[in-house]
Amino acid sequence: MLRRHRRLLFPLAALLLALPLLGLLLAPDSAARSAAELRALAPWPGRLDPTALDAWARDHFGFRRLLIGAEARLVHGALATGTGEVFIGRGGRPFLRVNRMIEQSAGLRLDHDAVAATAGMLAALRDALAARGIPLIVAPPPNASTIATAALPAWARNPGRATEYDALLAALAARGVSALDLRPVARAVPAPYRRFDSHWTPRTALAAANAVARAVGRPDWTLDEAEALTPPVPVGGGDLLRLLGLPDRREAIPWLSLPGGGEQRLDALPYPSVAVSGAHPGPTLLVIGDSFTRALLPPLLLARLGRVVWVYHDLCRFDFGVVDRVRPAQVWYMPTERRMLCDPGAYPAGLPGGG
Amino acid sequence: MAFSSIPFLVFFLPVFLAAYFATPGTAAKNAVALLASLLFYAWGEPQYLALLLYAIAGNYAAALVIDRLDGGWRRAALALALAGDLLLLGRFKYAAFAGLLPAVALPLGISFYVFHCMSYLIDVQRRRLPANRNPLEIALYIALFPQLIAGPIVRYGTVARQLRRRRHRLAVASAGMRIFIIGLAQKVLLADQVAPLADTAFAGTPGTADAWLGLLAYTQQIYFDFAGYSAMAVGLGLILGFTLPRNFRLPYISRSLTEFWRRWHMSLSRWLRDYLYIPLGGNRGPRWRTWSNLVIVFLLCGLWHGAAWTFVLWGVWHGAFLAAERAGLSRLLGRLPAPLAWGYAMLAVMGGWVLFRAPDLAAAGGYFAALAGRHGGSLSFAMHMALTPLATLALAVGGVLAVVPRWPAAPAVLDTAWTVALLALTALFVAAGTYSPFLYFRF
Repeated sequence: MLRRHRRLLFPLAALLLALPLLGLLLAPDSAARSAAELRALAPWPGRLDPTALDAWARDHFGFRRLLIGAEARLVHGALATGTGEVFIGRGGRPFLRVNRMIEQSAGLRLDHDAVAATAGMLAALRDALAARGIPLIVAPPPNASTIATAALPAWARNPGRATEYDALLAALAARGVSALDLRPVARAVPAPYRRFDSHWTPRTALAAANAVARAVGRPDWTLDEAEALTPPVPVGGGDLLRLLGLPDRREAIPWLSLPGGGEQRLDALPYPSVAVSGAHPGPTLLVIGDSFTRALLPPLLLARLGRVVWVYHDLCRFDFGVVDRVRPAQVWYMPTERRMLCDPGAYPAGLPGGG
Repeated sequence: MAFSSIPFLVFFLPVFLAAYFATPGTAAKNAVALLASLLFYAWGEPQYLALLLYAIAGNYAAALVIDRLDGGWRRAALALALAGDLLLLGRFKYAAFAGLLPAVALPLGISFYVFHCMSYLIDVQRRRLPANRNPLEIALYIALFPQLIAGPIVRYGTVARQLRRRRHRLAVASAGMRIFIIGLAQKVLLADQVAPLADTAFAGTPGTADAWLGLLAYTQQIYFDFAGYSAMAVGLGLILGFTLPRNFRLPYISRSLTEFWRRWHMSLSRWLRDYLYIPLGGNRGPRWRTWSNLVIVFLLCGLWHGAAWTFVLWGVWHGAFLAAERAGLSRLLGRLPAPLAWGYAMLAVMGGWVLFRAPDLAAAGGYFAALAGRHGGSLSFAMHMALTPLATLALAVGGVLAVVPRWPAAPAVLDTAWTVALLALTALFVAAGTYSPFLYFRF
């Protein structure tokens, strides 16, 4: 009796191993893209190319999503173990960790050369804009790991080390470039970052926009929360859960109550520049930023401005020519802390002072 | 194509097993297995498939020639054929190290299949067995995919009879599958999970805490990686009806390096003993000769593992400890309490792993300094990051599995159930390795 049961192992295991292949053959997935991974799946190579066949096999075996999801629930959910891109902190709170941003928040990533190069570029930008009568302010949104430190383990918190954020602010101050430290602003907001997403909440974006407006002498551009935000509503689509392969979860947060405005693409870049126009005429604001500002800032600012133009900073590779094309009243330079420094050798096209 | 990859587990293995068991007769099964083995090899190294075929053809013919000759001619033919094999290995693995020729990519598994070929030729020359006139059987012996890439090193005599006639029984295939699953789990659930700890420690000059944790992790990683791969090979061999030699027998319970080498990579130890140590004179001469033989054999053993001074020194390290044990240290160890002897063996083995893992001698020196407390310090930020709950769990489970000699036998039903569950769990990890999400707003 016992022997018979042991003999069952081979057919059982062989069946288990064959299931993904059977799943592929019986219910082929014709999707060309993976919605969860936001990427094109490797296509069938059509020829005997082991590398391409490997890539196809990795993307197309049966029950792939099911297996990945089950592993994610076990490893990331139950065992609170992250990945190379997401760190799981206390209480299971995920933090983005790409670009060594948690080390950056802890003061362990400090590239003095990049800080100096970035400050130099921003001083040149300030001068070029000043020649056109346009003020510049630099206000990088801080990392979640810089602000939501209560959810980090003790070893990951900054015990008082100077960070790149501190160094950039100091370098900008030394060059007379206007800059605003958004860290105290974010810290003053309750639950300033989304729990399952790497970005700040609309409430924090509003607080930041108001703080910058005040810093540039335009308190008339500020908005009350009551004007700008809804009561808490369930919001999903968190990029951190997606990166972990976990199913989406909703969290209740105040969301924008303002209309988005009419959007016009200005170029065909991978992250295209956009001009967002409001319902009434008014000055143009140029925001050079990234995902922290792309979706949230234009609606918040259009309540008071005629047009908001958003351009991706591209680690200092943005096109300075956009300034003459859109003629903004002000320029807000707002790359997020983790990507706020220029890539080595990068410099905006058309900005005087480049190598 | 790694055994722990989706292309192998999901596509290659099920299709191959279906074709293999659907094919009647041993000769036809051999043809299926050989075709699959060549496809398996070509998948990873298509440019070197011709080299493998050349080695097969050359050694097949050389064995036939050797078998026909006698006396000095027989020995000369063997020497010529072995020189051909060693030239092959030398060109691809050692020519650049010796500064003779520019470096080229190392053909997958060349160290293993060249040793297979050499043992076959030597055994034929020694008249232990006749040369096989069936090229298909020799090709399968050399290229059989379970042991082609990472061993174990199979002596021709071990499988000679099975190449011609073997039985396929469900009970044996189930036993093979069980060994395969355990090996797969060792690789995926243990070795791969502690690897980031070792990678972190060996990435630069670590602090003392990092160095010890990293070394502990590497000690487990290399064991479960290699033993896991060997177990998968042995298990697959059993499924196909071949009895491949066991390669590991709980090496980390050893109380001396002499015992360690009876438990670690046993097929290599036996190969070195029979084809190198004994021909050198073994322990038959004066004591100093035995010691020097041990050091020479292990120096070459180190060089076999890789063409770098770190591997040479690793070999000499082991050879020196073995010589010291032969010179009297063994008697001392025998009088020590077991935990102390075990501690000695583990420290000697782990010290060797520093040499084995370090990218160069300078890095190895820095690592030893860190272990000795030269750099001080608690766990670094990077090591904290790597020390995830899963890595901690793998380290703990691996630590127990590596040193606990016997587990109570479970009833067959339970045993089957937990083995299937282990396969399912391992499959989850293998599948998750294909998840490659794009951080769309990486801007």
